[in-house]
Amino acid sequence: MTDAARTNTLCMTMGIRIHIVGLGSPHGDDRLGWVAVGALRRSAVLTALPEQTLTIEKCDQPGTGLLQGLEGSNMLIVIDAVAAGTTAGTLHRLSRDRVGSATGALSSHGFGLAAVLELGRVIGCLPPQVVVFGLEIADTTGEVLSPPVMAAVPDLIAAVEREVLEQVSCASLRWTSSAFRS
Amino acid sequence: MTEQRNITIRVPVLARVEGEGALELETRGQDITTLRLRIFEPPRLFEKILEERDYSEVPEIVARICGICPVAYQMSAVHAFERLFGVDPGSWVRDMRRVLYCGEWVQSHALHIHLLAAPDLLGYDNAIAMARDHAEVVRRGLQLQALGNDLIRLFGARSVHPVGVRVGGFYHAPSRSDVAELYVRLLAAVPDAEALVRWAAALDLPAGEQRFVSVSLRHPAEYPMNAGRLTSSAGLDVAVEEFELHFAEQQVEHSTALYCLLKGRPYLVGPLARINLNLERLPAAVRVVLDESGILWPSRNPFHAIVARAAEIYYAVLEASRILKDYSVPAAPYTAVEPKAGVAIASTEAPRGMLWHRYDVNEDGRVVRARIVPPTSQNQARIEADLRHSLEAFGLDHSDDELRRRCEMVIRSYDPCISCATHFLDLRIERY
Repeated sequence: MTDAARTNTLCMTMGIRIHIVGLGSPHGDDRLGWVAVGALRRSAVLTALPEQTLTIEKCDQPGTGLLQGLEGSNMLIVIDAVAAGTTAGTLHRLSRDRVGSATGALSSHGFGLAAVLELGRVIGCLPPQVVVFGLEIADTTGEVLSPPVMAAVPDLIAAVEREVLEQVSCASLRWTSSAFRS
Repeated sequence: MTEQRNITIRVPVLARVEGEGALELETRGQDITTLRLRIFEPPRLFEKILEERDYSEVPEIVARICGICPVAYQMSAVHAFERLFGVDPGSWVRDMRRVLYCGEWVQSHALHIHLLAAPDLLGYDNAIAMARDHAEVVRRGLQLQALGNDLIRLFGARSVHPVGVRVGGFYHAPSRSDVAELYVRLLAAVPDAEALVRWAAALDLPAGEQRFVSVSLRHPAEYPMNAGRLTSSAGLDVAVEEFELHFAEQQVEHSTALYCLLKGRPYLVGPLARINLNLERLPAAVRVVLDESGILWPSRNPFHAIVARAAEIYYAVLEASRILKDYSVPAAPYTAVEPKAGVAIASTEAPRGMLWHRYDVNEDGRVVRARIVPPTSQNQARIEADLRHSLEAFGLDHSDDELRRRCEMVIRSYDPCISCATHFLDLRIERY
């Protein structure tokens, strides 16, 4: 049995489901989430996984729609443009509790990623694992990604692929050891 | 004798409303000397953008006016052009437009009830704080909202600024399997939607009746969405083409939005006005829950809007499932259209109330002039009247913070859709 075939069998047996959402808008580097979704859908590493393991979606605003379709997922990966004051193209990986806190009286339009994730946590609809990936952006006025952000996209994709594979292998280890015990 | 207190409250940016607005309140002793709801609205700009555009582009341009109610703008636009061009797209298109509109009502109303209005009524600063104690209610609300979004996506390919609507019908008919999947979810949502109405009716809503005129479309047989005559609780009953004879927009110094008045007076549009004027058009299942709510309908208490909104969610879930039960894919999802010159007028019922469109079209089918009267500009004067009444009833002998909260609660209960800007509350209170 090849490694890929073994992984496929494990994913299906264990019912692993990972949900990836790319947040974006048409404005320059804010397209990042959409560009990343396009690249992830073409990823040879990810397309080798069984179809039901992975859902990859574009989202055009970090509203409550982000919380849709998470039932039964083991992991949510969000990809978004980041403005953290670092060099353009810097890769960021944040666990849910580091996304920031949601404060004040929120408007539906002002319902940012932090607020949505917090709401999801409070009502218990987030998967056990939530990770946010992003690249520091430079310019939101153009119609394409700026050169430094574009140059960093392959690193971002590789990081997301690694995260998915780690999740799959951790789950398979847990599954194997529990199967062994029983 | 109590000391005279002069209060100045300015809420420069209102939170938990759709977009950007501000409130100014000044009192001298027991008199309210200034009370202004300032709002800033995008549709004025859109009216200029629409000029010289082909009629076929209009549904997608007007969808951008609002991220919450794009379907309403599309519906008023396509009906206006079809009326002018003399096109009847047939019963399939008519039914599916109703389902699409149901989707928008459900998602918009669920969003407003759970994330914008309920935190006020239950005494929380925001939806997250409320969800900590009412997780099940918020979860149910978000599920309903998701169902509404998916109904819009079924016809529009996406839930925000959908692209499936065209003059004459739809670009694409959903497959039977996609419809079957949503039909099952609609049926499953019926008990949730009914429970939501009972939950809303059991909220501790402020009492107090006010005199106001309700305005909505009325259809001979249906609860109004895409068709009907313009009616009011004061006896108005005219064709939508006659809107400009009875309703007038006027400019006021403190707002970039126009004030729309009926015979010079404020009036109410939206779920409460619709329910008040169309009770007998609701199916028995919805009427029973409303009858059992302990509220006497038609209601003159503006805070009952949240119950009306919940009842419309229940109605929309029932209506969409009724229509989709026997779904079939048509030979063509649209009827071809031949443009002609003239004035295109239509009005439909957006989630927040009647939305009136007029397009002057030349012989090439291009828009020469556009006029869009959104629900919030119609409700603006009514909200100010309500604020004045509510504050007088509430009493001015409250702290600035309590007065501000009450004002915000009144404004938010109308679900004003002000613009699509993102802002957070920045409050400044001045005392003399």
